[in-house]
Amino acid sequence: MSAPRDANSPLRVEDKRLLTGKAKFADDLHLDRMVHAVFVRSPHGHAEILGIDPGPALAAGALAVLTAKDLPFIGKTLISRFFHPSMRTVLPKLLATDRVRFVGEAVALVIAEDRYAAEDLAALVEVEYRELPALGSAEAALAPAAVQLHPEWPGNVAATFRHDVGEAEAAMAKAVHRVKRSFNFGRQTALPLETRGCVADFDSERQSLSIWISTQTHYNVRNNLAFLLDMPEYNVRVVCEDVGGGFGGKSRPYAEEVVVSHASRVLGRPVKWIEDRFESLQAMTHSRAIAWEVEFGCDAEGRLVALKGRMVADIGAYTFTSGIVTAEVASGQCAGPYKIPNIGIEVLCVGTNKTPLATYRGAGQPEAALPLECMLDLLAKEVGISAAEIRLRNIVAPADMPYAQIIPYGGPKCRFESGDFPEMVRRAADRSGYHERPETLPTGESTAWGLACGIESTGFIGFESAKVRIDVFGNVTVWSGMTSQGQGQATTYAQVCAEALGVPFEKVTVRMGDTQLMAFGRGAFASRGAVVGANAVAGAAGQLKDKVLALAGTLLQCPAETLDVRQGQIHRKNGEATPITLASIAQAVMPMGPLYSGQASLEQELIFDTEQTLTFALSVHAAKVAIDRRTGFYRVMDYYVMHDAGRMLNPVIVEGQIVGGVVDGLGCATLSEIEYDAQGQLLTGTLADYLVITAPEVPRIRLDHMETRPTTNALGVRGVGEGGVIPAPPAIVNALARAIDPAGIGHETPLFHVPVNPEAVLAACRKAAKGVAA
Amino acid sequence: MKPEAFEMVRPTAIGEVLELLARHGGAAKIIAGGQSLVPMMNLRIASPGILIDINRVADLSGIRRDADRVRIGTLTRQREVLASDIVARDLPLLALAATHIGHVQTRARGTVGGSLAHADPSAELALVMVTLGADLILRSHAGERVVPARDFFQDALVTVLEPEELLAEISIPVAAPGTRVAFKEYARRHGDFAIASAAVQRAPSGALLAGIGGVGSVPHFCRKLNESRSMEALAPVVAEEIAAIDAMTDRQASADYRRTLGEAALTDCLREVLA
Repeated sequence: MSAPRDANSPLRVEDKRLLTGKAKFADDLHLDRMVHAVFVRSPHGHAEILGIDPGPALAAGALAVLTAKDLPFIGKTLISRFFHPSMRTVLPKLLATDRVRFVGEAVALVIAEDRYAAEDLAALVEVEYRELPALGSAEAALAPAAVQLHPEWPGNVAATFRHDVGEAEAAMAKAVHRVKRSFNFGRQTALPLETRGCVADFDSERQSLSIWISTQTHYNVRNNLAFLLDMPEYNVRVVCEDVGGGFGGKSRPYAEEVVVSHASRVLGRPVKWIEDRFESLQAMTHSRAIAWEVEFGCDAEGRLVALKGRMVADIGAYTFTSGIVTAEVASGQCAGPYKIPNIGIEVLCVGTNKTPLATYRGAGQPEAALPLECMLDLLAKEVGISAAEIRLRNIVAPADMPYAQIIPYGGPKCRFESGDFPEMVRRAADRSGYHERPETLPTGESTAWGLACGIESTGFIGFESAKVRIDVFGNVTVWSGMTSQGQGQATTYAQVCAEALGVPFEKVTVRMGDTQLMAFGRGAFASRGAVVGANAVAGAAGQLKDKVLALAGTLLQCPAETLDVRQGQIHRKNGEATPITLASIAQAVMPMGPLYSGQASLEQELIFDTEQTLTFALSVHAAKVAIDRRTGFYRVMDYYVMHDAGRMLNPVIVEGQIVGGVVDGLGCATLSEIEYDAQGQLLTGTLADYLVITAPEVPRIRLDHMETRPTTNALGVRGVGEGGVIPAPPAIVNALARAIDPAGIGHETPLFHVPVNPEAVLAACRKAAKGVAA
Repeated sequence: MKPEAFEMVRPTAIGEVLELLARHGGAAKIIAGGQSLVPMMNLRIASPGILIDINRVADLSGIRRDADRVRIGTLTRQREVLASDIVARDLPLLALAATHIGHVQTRARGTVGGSLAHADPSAELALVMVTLGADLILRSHAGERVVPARDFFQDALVTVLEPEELLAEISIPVAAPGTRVAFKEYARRHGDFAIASAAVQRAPSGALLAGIGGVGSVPHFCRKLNESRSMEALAPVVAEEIAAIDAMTDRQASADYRRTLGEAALTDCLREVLA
């Protein structure tokens, strides 16, 4: 069932380095005279800072202790690139000044000769706090007498807005079937294997900064450093060639790299800061944490007529540098791939004493899919049709395309322009095992399949840069403004370039993750590596090929249209080889060469953009679960994914992305949750508490590809980074609800808190046994 | 996540260990496999001034048969328990339970004595020793005392071990040939500490030994589950034993839920050995 391994698609060229420990992550860098930094962080959820005494730490040998008053730029804040008109932006200070608002907020930076000493000395920095009442949940924050986090956030509301399409109220009143439920997508974190970290090296003679950092967005980091440290951008070099995973957690600049860079400037020595796991769980942004109250209405045949709801995002203590993007995406995607004519959604972004909210794989889309996909199952039961059938009756069909998105959050021109969604649902239902009846195993476990769809908006945020150059030996180098956290761009970009230019794959080298390479770039996030990054490479290589052919035509005294490039050599279109190669053309254009025309090399740069910034990709997931009804313990027995990646540049890489996404999604659905108590104390500060899925919990995952080519980009690719995650939680919840009671509804309400723990499953089993209606 | 500075001493004989314990008492901590202690030190939850590393004390390691007991040295690795023919033959419950301890990496370093002295409420080894009625041999400069495992654990992470004492050896009564055993635990992930677990051993005579782990702060020995009867006859006894446990509530599970899991685990184990 899996796609055939394409004999022509190469193995990942980056794997040897990555798998043999030869990659260079931030912590692998050791510079002469380098010193080590540790942040002093708030142990309180909410407190006033009465005083900070670095004296004991300095007396004990700290090379420096930086606090807010040591930062000349403390009045400035990080540049926030994402704006929503309703947002009341309150960014954190680069180091806390008078108040801390979440456990882990940075208060001071301690520098010492080694990491051990730095941790000992950090413990000696005396910070006097006066604890304040804290907000441990969005409900507490919205209570009438709640303590106020910021004067800018009246009632602790950081943003509120509505989406209104049609007449939701009136349409709901006329609906034949109506179901109302609450959902809670728990707080989670991206948890890259490599935590954040950097090595900053400020050269005081040149007044320039080099920083090696674990980030997904190096140009954004450069922009912030230049702005905050008051340096010309060209004097700031940001390098992130190897990054050990990001998953959205590193897709924005942070205060830490700014303070560490300043420390290097103050000390005149390179400074290394590597976030430890304890710190990472506290201080790297969190995500999800979105609760819904929704009502769905449909007609007698199960056609959706209205959706009403209220979405509350628990955004933590500040609006961070990605604003309220997950709330925007989650509310914008509330209809997913379905036609819902009337929608009324109220959105609230509420401040609490928690780590600021930002993106994590899916970035709002899993949060949207959970209520939508679970409610479809309930309505199907009410109408008396199957879960597959209700989806088929509502999903956007080829005849509806191009179909303008109901809520155009990704820009005014976003539409589903191609694809066969109904066929994908049908195939998923037919091929997964979904039609098997729920049954009881000899072990006593109840089993059933659950189904869910997810629409992934890929290539969010337009523009990406690429440059392709041919050297005098015919070697080809691709520079890209992208970054890689392991997604395989060094392979796929080389493939794309080789194909567009007509050279062997082995001749192409890909470089990225260094701001010295290109003037502009964005980075890897939002499934944009293929949709935006690879198209930039293909476009640049294509234009370079045109240039090469024009030059070859001059050399061969024939029209360029009669020529082609094959294996790096110019051929006539009739197949006849010519003596001209890319190497000889590259030599010819050099200064003193016969074709020299003022440019010193054979190269082409391109900034890719597209009229429609999003390329949509549908995924349909089916999960089979088995439940021990006495305890609520359950396991995922089997898993099936139907996916449309458009053209697969490298099927093995596509499959890796999807399988990795599903594993991540299963962890989100079943295990991982960041928890705080009412005082804003973090309860899940280690990986013994924040549970991450491991190999033994992962079932067999079967992949099934459909290929329809989108019209939004020349390569015909769709992004694949998030489709593995988005439908996984509702697929699991729907399977659990169906296994517990295949026909009835009402028992499933405890399952609507993700991750679903066994105690909640037991509660649902007991409700079903009692026949309790919702 | 770096520990505070500490001194480390590496004795090679038991006498030396006991002398060091007598001298440093509460300031010192024994380190063997380090699978619990080192993470606690890295998080600075534990900051012992002196670590007494017993890894070079050969006498503290090994598994041997001694009349109707099996004696296991405190430094014996959990992996060695799994690999031992003596354990497989004479202590089938321990052999079965050991497969549930942590992961292959932690079993390679983690020791039998280290797990018992750490006294995690969910630890498999603690449950097995309480269920089987093992004796723990505690040694100090002043001499030796033998404490039944059922009296050793006082609370979560608290035992009767005095600061100057070393848990030196564990002595376990062997199972008769034909003994049937069962072990079950409920954990969120493979290798995690269990939320609840149960261990049952049925002698050919029909005599039962049963214990429940994870539900209370120390392993619970089910005194009333002492002889084989029908499941129907045992069900109320199981309920009584479960009700007798002062169950813990934490983030992972409520007290009620722990009891539910403990009851399911124990019931399954009994059904298995009685079948």
